[in-house]
Parts: sequence; structure tokens; C-alpha cells
Amino acid sequence: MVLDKSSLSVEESDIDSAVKKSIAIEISNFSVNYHIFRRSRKKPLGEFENFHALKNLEININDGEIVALLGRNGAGKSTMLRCIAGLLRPAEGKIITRGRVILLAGADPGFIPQLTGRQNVTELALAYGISKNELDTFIESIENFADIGEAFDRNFSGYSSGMRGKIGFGFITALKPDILLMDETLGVGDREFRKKAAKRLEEFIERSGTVIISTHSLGLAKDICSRGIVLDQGEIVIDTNAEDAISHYIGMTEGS
Amino acid sequence: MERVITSKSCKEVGVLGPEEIKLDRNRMKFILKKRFRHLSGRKRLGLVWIVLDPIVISLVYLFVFTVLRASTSVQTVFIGITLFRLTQNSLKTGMNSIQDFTGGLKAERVRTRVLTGSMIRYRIIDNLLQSLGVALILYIGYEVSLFGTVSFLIIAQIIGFLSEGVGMNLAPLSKKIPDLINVVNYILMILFFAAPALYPLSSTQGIHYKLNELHPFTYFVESARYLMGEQSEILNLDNRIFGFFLVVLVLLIIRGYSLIDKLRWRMTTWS
Repeated sequence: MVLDKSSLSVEESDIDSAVKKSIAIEISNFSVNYHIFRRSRKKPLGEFENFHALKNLEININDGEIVALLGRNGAGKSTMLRCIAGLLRPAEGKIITRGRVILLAGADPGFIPQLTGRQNVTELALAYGISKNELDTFIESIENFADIGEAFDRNFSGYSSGMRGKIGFGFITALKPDILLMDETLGVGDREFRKKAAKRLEEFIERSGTVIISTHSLGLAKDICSRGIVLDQGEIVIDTNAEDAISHYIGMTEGS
Repeated sequence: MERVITSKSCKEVGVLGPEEIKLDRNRMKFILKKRFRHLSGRKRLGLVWIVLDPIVISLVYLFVFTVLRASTSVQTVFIGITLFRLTQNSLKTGMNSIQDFTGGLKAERVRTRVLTGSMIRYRIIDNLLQSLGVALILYIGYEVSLFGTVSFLIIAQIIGFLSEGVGMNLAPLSKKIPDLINVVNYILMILFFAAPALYPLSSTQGIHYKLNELHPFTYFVESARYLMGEQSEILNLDNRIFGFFLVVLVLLIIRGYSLIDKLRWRMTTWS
């Protein structure tokens, strides 16, 4: 029997590209250094000192996976998310992302204080790619979620931080990303709002393709994540299923 | 769309579709509106202040000249002050251009073409607002020809862009050495009095004339005065020096805009 090598190689490359397409985030040999500007007597004009924030990360995240990113403060979780969002430059290595990436860090998508809540939502919606046909429904969903009554039509500069947070959180969670990066966001609003926000977040996560959640809330990680990555001092300590990652993280923090 | 992030760049692979082009256009509009809203703040007159600024400053200097009994014409002062304020403001905007490379959108990265596009549009509108009031006053009140008025507006655009280009080239340095902005302020002050902004070049002699010849601003302001039918020395100035300044300034602005992507990326890890 004679094998047709050319057809075989075509099939192999098809499989390769299919596998690649199912990977939403590819991180290879990835390191990040912050450059801290310092002045001294010897160097009065100052110089940059390197601070290593992430070292040699190798991670592939598949399409549809929900990953918990665990680690102490300063472990490099936020840095990693900002890198994947394309907001931080690596020192070396490569990240490939497939699809639209949204970073949910804080609850301010870019509000303008001089405008009302409604005007802000309208202008930001267009800037975040909501079409004019969807605009009314989009604004209504945020207005209903934020539930701040007539204040929605008042100037944003007069809002309390809670009101800003409600609109901001409502806005970002109304978007439709392919890759969602979440950096500890449920810190706004009263108890009632947090309940509502948790539900909306769940829906948002379900709607998003791939999700990475940087969190200290182990309950949330356990409930919704299928995979867990523990970072410590910029390096991956363990990359496994969510439960084992949580156990490892608990062990790590209790040990210290 | 696939995005490849390396130490050299953050690039999207493939050609932008119509949806993405539309999104970029909306983002440019958003950034532009945000910048002008930031400028106007809660002021009742808002952007009108940009139009009024050169007029008010010119009137103040004209008052000083009446006290000093100097014989500088109203047109000369209006043209000089407006173009110098424009130079000053554009240079400072260029120096501050690297303060925020997110375009004010915090949940998603915006493409560099959006930032560059909005910067160019902002510059055009800002140049126009800063020069329009004076152009109208000169056209209506001082019988400057329509050709002269339009030439003034065009020179204002050119000088605005070129000054921003200089500022953009100084921007990384000012990020490393924040004190530079103070030094630049003093230099601008010296350049203001050592340039024919308040007086026509023809009123200077000897060393003052020579110094003004070495000042790029001289060539633009004297060109504007000539085209507006005012007293001007532009025909007596050395074209080669003007050509040299023009080439250097054009190269600086090309460098400034083409560096945005690289600079924006490099600066993300500076603190």
C-alpha cells in the first residue's frame, strides 16, 4: 500500500490549525519587568531599575475554559491579566489571544464626569462597539440593573462611589467579550447590590467564551472555575483543576 | 481577531473588517469629545475660551503698548500673539501626549491608529479654534483680504502641527525628567520675547535681527504677516534657513507620530 504523503501533511496541518483555534490564549516563555525610575547622587538624571513581575510563564487556555488565578497580593495576578489584555509590555516571550478581550478591573470603563449617567452609557456604548440598533436595549438593561432612579439623568460628577460602581459594573457586564479577564471586582455597592451583582456576573461569565478570574474568593473559584492556576512571586506554582489549586493555595498561605 | 503580544509590539493579525473600522471611528469620536470636554470642564463658555484666549492676551499687550507709547499695529500683535500661543499650547500638548495612551477606555485596548487619528483631529480643531477668533476680527475689523485670512488659518494649522511634533519628541524625556516641563516653560518665555511675536521683524536691528533670523517662529509669523498685507521681512530672510527649519520640523513631526505605537508599548511598564 502506498501512502499519499501530501494528503497526509494537509490533514496534519488541518488538525494543527483546528487545535490552535480551540486555544483562546497561548502564553509562551512569558516574562514581565517593571522599570522603576530612580535618581541617586551618582546618577542625578536617574536610571531605570528592573523589577521582575512575571517569570517564564507557559500556559495554554482553551476556548470556553473558566480559570481561577490564585495567589497572594503582589504575586503577579493583575500583571498577568493586564498583559493578556494587551495593556502591559512583556520583557520576553509571547501571548496570542483569539477574540475580543475585555478586562473587568474596577468599575470604570472610562466615564466622563461632565456627562449624566445616561449620556455616559450612550457614548461609551458606541465606543465599546454596541450598534445603534442595540443601543436602547443596552441602556435600559444598565438603567434597570443600576437602579439609581432619576439620578441616572443627573451629572456623573455628583454621584457617590457606590452609584458610579453600579453603573460601571452594569456597563462592563453588559458587553460581549470572547475572553473575559476579571480582577477582583465585587467590591462596590451595598449588600443587596452585591447579591444582584453576583447573579449578573454569573450570567456574564456564561455569556463570555473564555474567562480568567483573579480572586481571593475561594468560594467563587470553587463554584464556577474548572481550572486553577496558583502564582507566587511571578511564577506558576501549580496549574491543575480548580479544587486542587485551591487546596494548594490554602496550604501555601496557611504554611506562611 | 488574533492578537500577538511580544516585547516589540501588540499587533492584530489580519485585515480590519468594516465593523472594526466603524468601531475605531466611534472611538476616535469618543476620545476627541472627551478631550474637549475635559478642556471646557464646567465652564459656562466652554470651548469659547480657546477662541477668546489669544484675543484677550493680544488686547492686554496692546494696552501695555499704549502705556509704553510703542507704535506696534493691532494686526501685528494679533497675528504674532495668536501664532505664538498656538506654538506654546501645541508644544505642551505634544509633551503631554504620552500621559494617557488608553484613550480613556479602560476595559479594552484601543488600536494605535485610533489614538493617532484622534490626536490629528484634535490638533486640527484646536488649531482652528485658537486662530479663528483673531482671523475673523482681522477680516471683519481690519479689512484683511479673504486670501490673507485663509492663509493665516493655514499657517496656524502648520505651526500647530509642527510644534506638537517637537513636543512629542520631547515627551519621553519629560516622562523621565519631569522637571523638563518647567525648563521648557522658561525657554518658551524667552523665545516669546526673543521672537517677532509682539513686534514686526523690521523693527529690530543688529544682534536682535540676527537672533530672530535663527528662530523658526520668525519665518512663520512673518509669512503670515506678508500674506495678510502687513509689514513683513519675509522676502529679505534667507530661504535656506527657512528650508532647513522646515525640513527638521517636518521630520520631527513624522518621527513623533510614527513613534506613538512603539512609545505607548514601551511605556506601559515604566513607573
